Formats: sequence, C-alpha cells, structure tokens
Amino acid sequence: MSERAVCITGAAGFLGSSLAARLLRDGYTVSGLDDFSHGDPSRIEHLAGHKNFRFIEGDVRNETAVAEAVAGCGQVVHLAELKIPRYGHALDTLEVNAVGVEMVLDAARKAGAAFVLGSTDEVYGKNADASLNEESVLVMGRTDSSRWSLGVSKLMAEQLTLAFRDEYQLPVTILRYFGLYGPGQATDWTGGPQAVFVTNALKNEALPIHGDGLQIRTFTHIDDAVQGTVLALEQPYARDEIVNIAGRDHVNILNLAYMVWRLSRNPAKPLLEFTPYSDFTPNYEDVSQRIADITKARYLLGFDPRIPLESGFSATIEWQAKVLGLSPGGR
Amino acid sequence: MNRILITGAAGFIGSNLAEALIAEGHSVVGLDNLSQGDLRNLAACQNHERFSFHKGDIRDATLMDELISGVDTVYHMAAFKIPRYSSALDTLRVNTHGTRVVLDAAARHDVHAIIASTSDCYGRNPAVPFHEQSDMWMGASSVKRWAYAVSKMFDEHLCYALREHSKLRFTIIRFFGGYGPHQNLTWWGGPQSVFIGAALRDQELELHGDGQQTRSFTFIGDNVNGLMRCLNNDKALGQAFNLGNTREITIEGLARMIWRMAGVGEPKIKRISYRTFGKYEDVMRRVPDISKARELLGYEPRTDLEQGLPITIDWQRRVMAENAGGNA
Repeated sequence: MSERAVCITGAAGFLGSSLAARLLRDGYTVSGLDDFSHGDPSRIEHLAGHKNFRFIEGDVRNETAVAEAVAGCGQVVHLAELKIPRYGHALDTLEVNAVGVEMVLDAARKAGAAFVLGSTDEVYGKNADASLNEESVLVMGRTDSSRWSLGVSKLMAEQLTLAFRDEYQLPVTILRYFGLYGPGQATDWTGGPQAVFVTNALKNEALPIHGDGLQIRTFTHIDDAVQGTVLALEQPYARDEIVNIAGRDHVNILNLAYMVWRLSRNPAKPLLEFTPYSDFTPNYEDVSQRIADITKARYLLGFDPRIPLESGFSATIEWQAKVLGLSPGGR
Repeated sequence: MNRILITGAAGFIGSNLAEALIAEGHSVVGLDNLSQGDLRNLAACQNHERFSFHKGDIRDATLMDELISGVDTVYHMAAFKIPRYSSALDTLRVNTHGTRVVLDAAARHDVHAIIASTSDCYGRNPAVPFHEQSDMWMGASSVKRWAYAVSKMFDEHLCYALREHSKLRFTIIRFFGGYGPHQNLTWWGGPQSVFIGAALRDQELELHGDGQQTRSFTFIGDNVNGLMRCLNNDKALGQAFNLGNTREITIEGLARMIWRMAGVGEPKIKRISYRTFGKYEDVMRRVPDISKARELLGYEPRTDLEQGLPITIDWQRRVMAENAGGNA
C-alpha cells in the first residue's frame, strides 16, 4: 500500500477539496469521502474525471462508507467535522466530531494507514497568551455555553487520536489550523467572519461585527494550509506530533472588515453593524486574541507560509464576486 | 418512594449511595460490569428486598433502555478514571459512549439523570477556589492524564446538547476527592487510599513531586448527602454543582495526618519524581467553591478529615485483614 494513496474525509469541504486538487496535481492517488451535509459537490466536480480520484458519498459515522474510502490508502487525512454549534444542534457537533473520528481511526488502523487529524485553533479556547504554541494550555469556558462544544469535541478527537497511537501504535499527526480563508471558502458564516464580510461588502451591506471587533485572529490562506498539510504527509518528522498550521498575519476583526471593504473597491465609507454577544446563545463567551506560534511547523517541517493577508484577500474577493455574480467596485 | 437506577453501583460512590437510598425507603437497582467495582461493596444491600443487582455494561443500549424504563431517576456513577498505566482509550470510550447510552435512555423515558463529573475538569486553572463557571484549563493533549477530564467535559456538553435536542432532565455533580469506606484500594481510589494502605503495612508513603500540591478531601457521607439532595429537586435540574469539603490540605500534610492515625513511629515519607509517570502534569491547587450547592441544595459538608479518616482507616484495616485471610 502506497503512502502516495491518500484518503481525505470531508473531501468536498474547503480544505478537503483544495488538498485533493493539490495531491492529484502532485501525482498522488486520492480517495474522497463526504456526505455533502456541509460540503459542496461543485468543489469537487472538476476532479470527478481524474483517473487517480475516486469519491464515496457517505457519513464519517457510517462504517461501511469509511472502510470503502480508506481501502488501499496509506494515509488518511480526517477533515470531516461540524463547526459552530451556535447555528445548529450542539449534539451534531459532538457526535460527528467525536464519534466520527473514532470510526475513521478504526478504519485507518484496520487498513494499516497513517492518520492525520485536522484539528483547530478552537482547542486553545480562551487562552489569550501573546502567542499559542502546541504546549499551551487549552482553556475551555463553562460547559453550559454551547460554543465550547466544538473545542471540547476537538479535544476529544485529539485525545482519541493519541490513544489510538498508544493502544495500537497507529502513526498519527495532529494539525491545528487557524482561520482558513481563500478561494473556495463557504460564503456564509460557516466560512468564518471574513466570508460574510466579503459577501456583504460586495453587496454594499453592513459588515456584522460581534462585540467591539477588537478580538484578534490569525488568518491562513488556503494554499498555505494545503502546503502545511502536504509537508505533514511527506515529512516523517511529523509523526506523533501536534503542529500549528497558520499564516503569518493576525489582525483584529474591525481592521479585517476595513481591509475587506477597501479591497472590494466599495466607493462608500465602510458600513459596520455591531452585534452584542447577548444576542447569541446563552452564556456566549468570545476570545480576545488567538495568535498562532508556528515556530514548530517552521523548524520541524520547513513550513513557510507565503501569502500576505492583503494579496490573499484581493484574490479571494475576486473569486467570491464571481461565484456570487457580483462585481467588486460596481453595482 | 423513588425507583432509582445506580450505574457503577459496586463502586465507591455507587455502593455508598445505594445503602443510603435504601435506608431512606427507596427502591434501588444497581448496575455494574465489575471491571473496577467489587460486589463486596454491596454486601449490606444484596439481600435487601428493595435492592436488585444487574451485572452489565453501560454501553449495552438494550439493557440500559430496559433498566431505565423502570425507574424515575438514574444516578450515573460508572466511569473510568485517569489513565496511568495503560492507554487512554478505555477512559475515553467508557466515559463517552457509556454516558451517551445512559443519557439517551433517560431522555427517552423522561428520567432524571444525575451524572458524576469531576473537579479534574477545572484542570490547571490557577484561580482557586473553583466555582461552577470557572474556566477549564486542560494541559497539552500529548499528556494523557487530561483524557479523563476531556471525557467528562464531553459528557457535560452531551447533557446540555441532549436537553436542547430531546429535553433531557439532568444534574451534573463535580466531585472533589472523595474518600471513605468502599474506596478503591489502589491509586484509582486516590492518594489517601494508597497512604492508608502503606501506613498500615509500615511502608513508605510516596509523594509525587514535592508533595506541596493541595487538594480538598470529601468524606463519602458528604458526597452521598449532596447526591441525595438532587433527588426530586427541581432546583437541581439543568445545573452543575461542585460537591466537596472546602478545607485545603497539602498532600504531604495528608500523608503525615494519616501516618499519625494509622502508622507507628516516625512517618516514612518518600518523594518520587513525576518522571516515573512518563509525560505528566499535576495540578497544584484544587479547592471547591460550594456556595451554589449551599444555596440551591442546602448542602453542607459535615465530616472533617479528623472524623472521616479514622472511620476509613478502620474499614481499610478490616478489608486488608480479610484479603490477607483469603489469600492464606
């Protein structure tokens, strides 16, 4: 079984589809799994005819579908997950992210494949240290606030991944992605605040800001995230490691909004609409800053994110305008 | 009179709770797979007309549905603790799959689920005492001790998610260091259990690190009392409560106290490095704020270490003698 045959769960997602395209370009064989609950078929349409690509439509909790997707693969990249319990049932988030990962871990074990878990900066939770590295404490807020369901479910996924390594000597890698954006992103809230900002700026509608907008986030261009993932697949040093994958730039949400507005070439002054947290789910808590330390990825894997925020967003806005049938600057 | 299911009934908390509930006139069904529990803990209940025991696993959905359909309250005390000498997989699986099965059945039959959680959820949070809304500081995922706390946080989220999804009625109890008769005699039962065993054998008490980390220790009677105050209590619904004694004591202080009560001569104390556990992180202080339980449940811990430890030592001495007799 070849390490150059890779199964990607969540293959019709933003990262999954981008990774699949890159791996196929690099000569890998790719097997994709997605149930299209959030993934979008249009993201993988252009891959459908590729001789080294096969696709299985199915849920990560479905043992048969998972086994079929993993068959023949030397590595599995598990990216299928549900985010943002704020907008749906927290139960689904807990189930898909924890039960799903166990199903895929078990399939990887049976197939003798190495396992890469796609995790998230959300596991750092409320930790607002000047920068977050892989040994930083993971601070979850009170359990009666459903926003922490995502972080807790991903902590669970990380623990399960490492337990499979200990119990079965399964080779594993955990990648914690920070704030992905770029062409191919979801254009609503599931894509993150920047996706909504772009859509609204193009439509000349106010950009919704949660709280005071001073919360700082690290944003990562999709191409950099894909590059980091490929390094983890190809670099043996990544085995048994937890690694942050993030871009170079962090910015507060207010300034992100200004940048998106300007790059959308909107002639009017930026329109902003502030939403207090009290309008969210009960006991909602935000995080004042989340800044990635990517020293480990840099020195262990040779990861070197290249795309600056402004040029990354220019291209993203062009793409999103085309997808939504809008034009930057025009009306 | 209530009809009550206790999971983990042959364990430390479950068995003491069963005795107390029966004494109050309730009917109790005990469930345990006996992986960690011991039937001897149920000796006082076994032949009672209002008690029945089932050997089974909480992950058996058919069994759980059947048992829960016949009760009005389930105390879910079955759990796997901090993995120390094995992988964390059992801890993660038993605590999350098992709890899911129990909570699903409770929601289906509109049964009040009172579930055991842990002070370990507050983890490395340095701001003591912990109240129920305190942040939960988990150490690095590569340290497997956190698997236990993560599994219990996951269970707590399941409770709230199932309330949203299927109107589950639940109460979460975060225990702080229980001790007393029926405690597990290995490290699983906590440091006091190991210290008492060693002191009675005139062996060294092993302190991890410098022994200056603090804990609060709660006599089992006080834990059981708090659990019983949740029964038929609408104020407990949808709530998480810290239960525990608020007195803070260093592990070394506890070791010396136990030696004075159970040992002979000068205390034998040995410090061992955390390195022997592999990658490990301890928690330096752990004290509960119990004002919420005081206010909503009328809870007040009554048994201090000076009263509770001698009772525990007497019990442990008796069990050790029985075990020695059995082996002879």
